[in-house]
Amino acid sequence: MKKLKLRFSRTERGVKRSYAVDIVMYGLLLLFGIVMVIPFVFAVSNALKPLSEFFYFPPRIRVENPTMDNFKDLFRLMSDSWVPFSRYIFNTVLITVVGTAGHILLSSLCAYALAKHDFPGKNWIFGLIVVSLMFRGEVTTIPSFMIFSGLGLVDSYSSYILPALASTLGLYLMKQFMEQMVPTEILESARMDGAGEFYVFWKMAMPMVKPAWLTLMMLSVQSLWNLGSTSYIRSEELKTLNYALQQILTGGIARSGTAAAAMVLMMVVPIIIFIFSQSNIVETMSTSGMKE
Amino acid sequence: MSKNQKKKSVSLSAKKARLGWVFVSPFVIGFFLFYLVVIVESIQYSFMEVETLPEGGFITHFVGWSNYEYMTRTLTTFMSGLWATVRDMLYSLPILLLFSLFVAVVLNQKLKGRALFRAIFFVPVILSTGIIAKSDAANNVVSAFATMNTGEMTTVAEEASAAFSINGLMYYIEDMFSFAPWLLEFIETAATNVYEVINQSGVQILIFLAGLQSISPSLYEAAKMEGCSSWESFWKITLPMISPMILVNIIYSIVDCFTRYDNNVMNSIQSMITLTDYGHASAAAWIYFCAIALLVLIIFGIASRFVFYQGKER
Repeated sequence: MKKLKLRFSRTERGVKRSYAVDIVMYGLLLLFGIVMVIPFVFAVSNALKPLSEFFYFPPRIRVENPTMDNFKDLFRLMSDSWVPFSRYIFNTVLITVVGTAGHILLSSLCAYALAKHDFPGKNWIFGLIVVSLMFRGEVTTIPSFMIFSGLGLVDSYSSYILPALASTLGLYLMKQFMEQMVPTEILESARMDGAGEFYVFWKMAMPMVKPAWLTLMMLSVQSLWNLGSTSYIRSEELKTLNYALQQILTGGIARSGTAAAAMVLMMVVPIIIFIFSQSNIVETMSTSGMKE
Repeated sequence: MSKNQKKKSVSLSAKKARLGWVFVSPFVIGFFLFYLVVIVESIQYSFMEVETLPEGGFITHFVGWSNYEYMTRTLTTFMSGLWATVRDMLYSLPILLLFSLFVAVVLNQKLKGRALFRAIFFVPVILSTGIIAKSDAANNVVSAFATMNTGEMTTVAEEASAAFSINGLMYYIEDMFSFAPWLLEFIETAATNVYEVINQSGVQILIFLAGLQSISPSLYEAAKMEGCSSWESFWKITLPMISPMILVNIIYSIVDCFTRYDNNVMNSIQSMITLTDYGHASAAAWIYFCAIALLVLIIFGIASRFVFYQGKER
């Protein structure tokens, strides 16, 4: 057995892993994996079911006559919407891309300063942010709306994007990573060599916490992609894909198949991005050239 | 940090402080505008009675603590729901953390199909949000899934939890080992919640994975040179290095658990808002918030004594 045993590093050398460990590991992964993946498999199989098979009881995963009718229905329904359907897709893509990029940039900048700089008021700000983590927006409907309208953000893309930029969980996550994974010495030596502060942040700190901001990207994409209707948007042209699909789904039981197809469609994009980001994580720290 | 600062000239530290503010300000401005102001205003509403007018708009008048009194004294279901939520959270938190750390460690090894497994463990996160959670179709899927174990399909976790929740078994265990009742209750709740816990762990696994991936391999190499076994290097390197992520995960889990839509306190707050009962809803939210904050503070205080920061010791 040439495999590597319970290695916690990603170098090529390590203690050899025995068959037993291998079996236990795959066994556990499969067991938990099956539990987690069943709802997904079920959703996909639902999308392929003709309506006649949809309401079997008990529900079954195997599809007897797989069909693409549900997807065809969905696209037909999409093609005769009031606002061209591509507009909804464009809106969601725009919001997701801008919101995610902005959120990563701003929260990393802020986290970098909070972790690696000393300035008055720093602990105070951080404390406030941690406290606000615990407060969710549901109860703040009235004040939120008043602020949005006061800033003139009602009925604009900004009302989706700006709150996402300042989402606090991402900041907290980045701060912990910056504090732990970025050695101050490297930053100091870069400054010694005359690197500007932004350069140090962008070229030294950010690559070292790549896994962290890829995680952040995933969380942000996940929430923005699924953004539905908000009370800040009135024009139909500015509404999101999620909203549009939900309107299609209000058809009730007759649209169950179409709903399943829409679900699969909405799920596929985050999953693809996730797989892409996970396969994109390369050795980060090994190239940091730290010699102590 | 402070040592470094003393060595340098004042002007440099002033410059660094200014730079710090420049870096922080875009985020902080957004945070103040969209989160802090709103939160502060909701404190005000919790002391007011809010009436929406039929012609649009609303009026408020100050009522003092009566909203709070209503929530704590009159509406008994609220406080008992609050306790139940806190207890459930405390029971499921350790399992959630252990499970996600374990899975993250396994998923960080070199194995065949690693990316696929990682994706699989992230799927529940995707499933639990947006259109999927809200649409009727989701209800179909979820309820179908829930009824599955009455049919031919039974998931492993549910089978396990079903076995554990059998009362007879519980009493049997109690008789045999004379365990403390709370321990038994803990195990029982834990076992019944296994399925939910596994399904909630996606983000935690992801955060742990990112933590594990950021640990420098040179640490492990050095440890191995010194003859450290992998078990030892887990305890001496992996665990200290990802301890800040454990803290992140504790806080994330608590917040996530308390603000889920299926949580009954959130549900009652939500329904008060639907009835435009903003005064009571704000008071309820603030009681809830204070309970969470207290809990987080306690856990944070205990946990942060064990957190190790690489940069801090020098």
